[in-house]
Amino acid sequence: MNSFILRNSAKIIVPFMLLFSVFLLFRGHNLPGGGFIGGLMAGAAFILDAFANNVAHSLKILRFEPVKIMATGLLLAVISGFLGLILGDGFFKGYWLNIEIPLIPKLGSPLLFDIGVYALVLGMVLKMVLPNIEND
Amino acid sequence: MILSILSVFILAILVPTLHKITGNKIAYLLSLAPISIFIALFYYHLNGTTFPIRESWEWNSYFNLELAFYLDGLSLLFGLLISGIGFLIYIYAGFYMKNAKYNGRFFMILTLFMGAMLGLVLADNWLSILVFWELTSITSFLLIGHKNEKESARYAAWQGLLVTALGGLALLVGLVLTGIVTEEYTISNLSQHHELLTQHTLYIPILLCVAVAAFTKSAQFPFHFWLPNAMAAPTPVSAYLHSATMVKAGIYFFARFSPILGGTIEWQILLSSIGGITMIMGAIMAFKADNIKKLLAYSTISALGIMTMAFGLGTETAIFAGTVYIIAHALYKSTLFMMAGILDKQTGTKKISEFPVSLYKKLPLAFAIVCLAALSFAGIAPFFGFVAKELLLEMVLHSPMLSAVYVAAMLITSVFFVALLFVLTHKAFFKGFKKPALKNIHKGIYIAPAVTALTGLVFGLFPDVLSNLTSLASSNISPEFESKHLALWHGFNNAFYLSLISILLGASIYFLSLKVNWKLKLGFLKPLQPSKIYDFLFDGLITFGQWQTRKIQTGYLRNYAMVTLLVILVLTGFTFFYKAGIRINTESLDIYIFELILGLIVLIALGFTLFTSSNISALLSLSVVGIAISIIFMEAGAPDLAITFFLIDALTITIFVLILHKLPKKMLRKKNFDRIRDGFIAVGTGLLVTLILFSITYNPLNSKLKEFYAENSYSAAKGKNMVNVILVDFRVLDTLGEICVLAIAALGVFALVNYTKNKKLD
Repeated sequence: MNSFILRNSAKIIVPFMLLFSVFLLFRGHNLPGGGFIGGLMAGAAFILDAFANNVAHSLKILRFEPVKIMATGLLLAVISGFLGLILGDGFFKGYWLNIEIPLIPKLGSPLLFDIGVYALVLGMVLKMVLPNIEND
Repeated sequence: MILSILSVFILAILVPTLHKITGNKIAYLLSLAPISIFIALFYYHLNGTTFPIRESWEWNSYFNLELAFYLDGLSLLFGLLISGIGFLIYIYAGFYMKNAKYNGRFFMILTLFMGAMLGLVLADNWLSILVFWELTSITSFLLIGHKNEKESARYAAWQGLLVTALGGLALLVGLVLTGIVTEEYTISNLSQHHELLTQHTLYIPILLCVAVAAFTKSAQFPFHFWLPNAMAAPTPVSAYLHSATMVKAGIYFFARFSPILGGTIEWQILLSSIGGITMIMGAIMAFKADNIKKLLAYSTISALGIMTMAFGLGTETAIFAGTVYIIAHALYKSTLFMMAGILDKQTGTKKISEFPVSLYKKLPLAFAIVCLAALSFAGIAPFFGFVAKELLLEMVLHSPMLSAVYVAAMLITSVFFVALLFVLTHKAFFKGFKKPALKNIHKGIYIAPAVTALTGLVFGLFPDVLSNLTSLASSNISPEFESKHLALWHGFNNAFYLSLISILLGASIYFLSLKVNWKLKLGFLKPLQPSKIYDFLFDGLITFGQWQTRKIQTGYLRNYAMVTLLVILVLTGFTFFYKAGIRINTESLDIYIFELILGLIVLIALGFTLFTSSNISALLSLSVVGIAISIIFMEAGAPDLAITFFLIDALTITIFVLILHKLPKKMLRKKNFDRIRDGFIAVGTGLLVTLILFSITYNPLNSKLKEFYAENSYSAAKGKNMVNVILVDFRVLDTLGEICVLAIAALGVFALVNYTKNKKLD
């Protein structure tokens, strides 16, 4: 698709969508949001970019292959579970750091898990959708 | 015990690595394993250790699973045979398989097989017996199919596997039934429940299952047909598996189960009749065979029939005779098989009729060894086969019932065995038809068969050395058994006269057959042959499989969707109406005008989707449905759900649009009948789900979960968003499973898309 309007508006919208997806991820702990929704939102952002420019471009700004993002997400999620196993409290025991940093949610193993979900969903969406987009 | 079996398996795993280092010498290295086991067992025996020895490791007491081993006289006898003959086979195979293709793989599987076989005769728990049993089936499958580039070898391997695996299933059923009746899962303790078992209504099924299992393994009629075909295996395998070990597993089972299930009239009739049929049939088929390996295979079937009959009769003499015959048969049959391999290597043919002229001059050593073994085979004094044969004849003469029939059967079999003696010696070494063209092979290959043949002679001359071992084994088969002594000479009794008659008749049959070319006209029986029935069933299964795959796997998504929905509709619907019934709580149905409007929008959009002729407008109106539903979620107080649904809907529509690109522009017009049918299925499924939802919410949900999460999500999990806390903390394992599924699904979709892309390129 070659549309001037779409391309230029995507330039503005895509960064905001990505920012919003991170916002959704972070706020998930206390308000509606979370890794799953955030991941879908981020995926939608890259798909919009792929429509506006082309698949190669969105893969370039993505920097990593979707399948690797997916694998990393799964790895993070599993690591957050093994933390408890290694420390001897059982699989997926939640740990929290007692420091408050503004703009960032409370740090802890459930957040790591949520980030894993975010990455996995992002990778999954892109892996499923991008190969179907044909820019011609 | 467990250590020795485990070490064999570990050794087998190491074979590929060792093979790289030692090359052809690996056989001699591996032979250290059976010989050390043999020495260990022999040491037990000589030292007068009090049997039985037990070892067990509990695994799961609830399911009565344990790794238990049990060494008594019977397993000692079999263990000695397996390890002793195994050692010689390795030595033989070292020469035979020299520089052969894939011999590393061959030795690995052979070692695995030996471990499985040792495990089988030592195992005491029903599960370990079953596992070892199946292991012998699988390893022998691989060994029979060793020359996997040959169609016939693959066919024979399949046949062997399927038949013995059928037996394995029967064994499983038999053991489970035994367990149900006695609540005892340790085989060595089962004999205490002999009376309970034999008087139970399940006795006949148990007996049949165990018998079928042993029949398949020991190639008894009507499951005998796999054994001659299994001769496609390399000769060391035939010598080991199909003479001394694998096929003896069934015999071992009869011996082991004699004190548990034996002693009844059913046991006697079943075993002795099948054994009798098998031994006569095997002997005649062997005489008709020209291929020397087939001849030996049929004679093995016949010998196994004799043993089955012996354990079926179950008198003291019979059990003793059977036990002695196991040793005699293992010795002469492995010799003969090994010699068949040597003759094959040197002459280049397995057919006796194609052997070169006056072979005895060219291969005097081979001739001598074959003579030693064949004389034992035919039961001529002073070989060990004679000792066994005298006992067998005595057994049939003193059998508790139908003595005359058994005597006749035994006599026919011995007559043919004597005739086979002449085939193996006179016909093979003196007749000859072709010019000799012999290949040279290493003389070391003669070591192993010479040892087994000479052992047969030594045991024949001094049979008393085996008295202890055979008596011990027999006493494990029959509790009332009293020690007996083996002797070469029993005096001029009826058994001896019968023996003489059989020799005379055998010789005359052989020399008659050289003159007269008589052929049995049994062509009309061909379709009824068990092997034909096997082929019919095998082909039928494949045809049926192809037919039903074509029917079920149509490759059209719409058919899969229809079947899935239909299954939901019928099964869930049936269960729902049968078990629960419709319940609607009209009081809780307060509908707001807002919801009504949304519902109306959904209906209009759906109608548009159904009746529009354009793909893209159908899709867009479908997205209206999605958005309306997410608004309903939002209004019902589930923002998380609403956002997720909305995003998923948007992405789904995007993917749909992308795929529409590749579909034909106009929608497929279905036939009216199809539309009506699909409509019924769709409406029915929707209605069913709605009714179920109504029924579920009939009683207000009075769950403590809600309160639990409300109380604990902030205090324990430090989160205010309950939904998210459940997802990433309380029920995190579920989420982990779900994201794994997502990842796999994504890979699957990618593979499918790529697949069609590659297809287009082709």
